[in-house]
Amino acid sequence: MPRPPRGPLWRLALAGLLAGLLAWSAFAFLAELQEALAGFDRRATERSDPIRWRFGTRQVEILQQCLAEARLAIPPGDAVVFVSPVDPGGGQSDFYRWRWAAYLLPENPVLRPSDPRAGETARWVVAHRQPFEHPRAVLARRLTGCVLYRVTPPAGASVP
Amino acid sequence: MSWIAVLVLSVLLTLAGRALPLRRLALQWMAGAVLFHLVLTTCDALGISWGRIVILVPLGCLVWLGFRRREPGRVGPGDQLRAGQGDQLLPSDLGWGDAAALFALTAFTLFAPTLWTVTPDFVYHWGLKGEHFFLARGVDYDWLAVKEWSWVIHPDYPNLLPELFAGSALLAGAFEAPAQMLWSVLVFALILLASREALKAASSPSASSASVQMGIAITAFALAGFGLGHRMAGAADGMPALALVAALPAVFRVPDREGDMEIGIAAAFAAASKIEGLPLAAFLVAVQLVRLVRRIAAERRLDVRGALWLTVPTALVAIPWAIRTFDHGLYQNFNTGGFDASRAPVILRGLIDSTVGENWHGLPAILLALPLLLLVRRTRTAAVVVSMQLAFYLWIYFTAAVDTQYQVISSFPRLAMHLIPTVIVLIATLSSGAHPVEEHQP
Repeated sequence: MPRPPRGPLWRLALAGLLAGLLAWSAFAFLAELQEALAGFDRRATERSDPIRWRFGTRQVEILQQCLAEARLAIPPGDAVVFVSPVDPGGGQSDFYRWRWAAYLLPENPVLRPSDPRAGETARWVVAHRQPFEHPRAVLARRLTGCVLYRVTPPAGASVP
Repeated sequence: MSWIAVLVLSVLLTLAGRALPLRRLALQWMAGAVLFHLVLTTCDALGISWGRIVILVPLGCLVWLGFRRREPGRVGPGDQLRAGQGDQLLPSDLGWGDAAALFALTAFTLFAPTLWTVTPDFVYHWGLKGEHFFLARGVDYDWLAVKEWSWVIHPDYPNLLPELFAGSALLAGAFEAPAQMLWSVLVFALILLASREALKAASSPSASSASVQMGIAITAFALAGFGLGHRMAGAADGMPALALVAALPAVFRVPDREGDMEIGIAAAFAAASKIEGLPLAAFLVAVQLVRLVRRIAAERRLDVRGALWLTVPTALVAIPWAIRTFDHGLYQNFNTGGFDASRAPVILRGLIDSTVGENWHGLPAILLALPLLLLVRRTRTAAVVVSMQLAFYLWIYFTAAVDTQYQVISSFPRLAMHLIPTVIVLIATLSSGAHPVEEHQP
C-alpha cells in the first residue's frame, strides 16, 4: 500500500492544514458566540414557530407559567389533554407545543386531542391560546395564558 | 442544592471509577458512570426504587474500594500495569491551546445554565425522561411503552444520561434543568482533557508541542461553536464523542491489557449513552479484539483477563438494554428498513447542507481526511473505527423508514460531532513527531 511522503514538505503541508483548521474553527466559534449573545439579548421579544422555541423567550415563558399553575391543580398521574391551535397550512406547531407541555407536566400523561384514549382517560384539559368547548369539560380555572378544564366522566362510567 | 448535587455525584462517579485499575481521569469518570448505570439497572431489574441510599451506598462502597486499592504498599493489577508510567491526573505543561480551550469551554459553560443553548431534545426526551424517572424512582417501562406517542421520546435509547439527571435530582430532592446542564459542561471538559491526553500519547517526547496545542484549541473551538449555535447543552451527543476520543491512547499504543481495559470501559460508556453508541462500542471492541488476538498469537500466551476486560463491560450494558428494549416492545421499527440506493442524491444534498450550514461552518469536511488517515499506520486503527461508525450512519440513512431529507439534516450535524474531535486529534497527530508505536512495534 502506498505511504504518504514523510519529508519536510509533508510536515509543512500538515502544519499549514492545522493552522488553517485553527483559523477556521476560531472563526466558527466567534461567529456562533456572537449570534448566541445577540439572540440572548433579544430573547424577550423573539417570536418563532414552536419547532424553534427556546427557553427564555416570551412564548415559552407564558406556557411555563400556565403549566406551572396547572401543575398545582392537577394531581400526579391524571391524564391531561393539551389543546393548542392547529396550523391551517398543515404545519406541526400543535405537535411541538404538545411536546413542550409534556416536558412541563412530567408527572402526568399529556395527550393530544386526537389521541384515541383521550375521551376515556382524560381528567383535565389545558387549552392554550384557543377556546375549548366540550359537553364534558367544565371550566376549572383561568390560568396565565391558558384555561384549565376538569373533564367529567363519560355517562355511565364510575367516578374515579 | 441541585448544583451541589450534580457536582457531588460527578466527584463520586470519578472516585468510584478509581475502584477499577484505570489511570486517566476521563476514563475514571466514565467507569464510574458505567458502574452507576449498572447499579440503577440492577435496581430496576430487582424492583428496588431509586433513592439516595440506593445511589450513595453502592457508590460509597466503590469509592472505599478505590481508596483501599490505592493505599501505599498495596499493589493491584492496575498498579502493575501503571508501573513506570506515572500517575498524574491533571496536566502540568499547559500552553496557549489550553488557554484557548478554557476560553471556549467558559463561553459554553456560561450559556448552558441560562437554558438559551439547551437542545430541543432535552425537552422532547432527555430531560423529560430524566425528570420522569426521578419522579417514578426508576425507569418507567410502562410509560416508555405507550404505543400511541412514546415514539417521540425514543423509548429504545439507552438511559445513562436520564439516569445522571435523575440521580442528581434524587440527591438534591428536586429536578432543576439549569443545574442539569452541568453534565454537558463536564462532558465537554472531559472531551478536551481526553483529546489532550490522546495528543500527548500520540506524540514522542521530543515532538513539537505546537501540534498538541493546536489540536486542543481546534477541538475546543469546533465543539463550543457548534454547542452554542446548534444548542447542545443537555444533549447526549458529547458522550459518544468522549468515548471515542478517550479510547485513542489505548488505540495508539502497542496492544496491552491496560488498553483492553480502557477500550472496554470506553465502549461500555458509549453503549450506555446513545443508541448510536451501541455500534460504536461494537466497533471499538471488535478492532481491539483483533489486535488482542494478534498479540496473543505473537506472545503465544493466552490473555483471558484482557479479553474479559475488553468485552464484559459492554456486554453488561448492552445485554440488559436489549432484553428490556425487546421485552417491552420499545424498539422502533422506523430505525431500520430495506436498503434504498435511490436515496443517494437526497442524502448527499443533506450531508452538504448539514456540513455547510447548521452551525458547523463546514468543519465536518475534515471527515474527508479519513482516507488519508487510513493510509498512515499511526492513525490507521482509529481511522478504521471512525470510518466504520460513519459508514453505519450512512447505512441508516439508506435504510431507515423515515423522511430521508429531514433525517439527514436533523441528525447529521449531531452525529458528526461524535467523530470530529477524534478526527481533529488524528490530523494533529500526523504533524507531531514520531510515535512510540512505530518505534517499538515489531
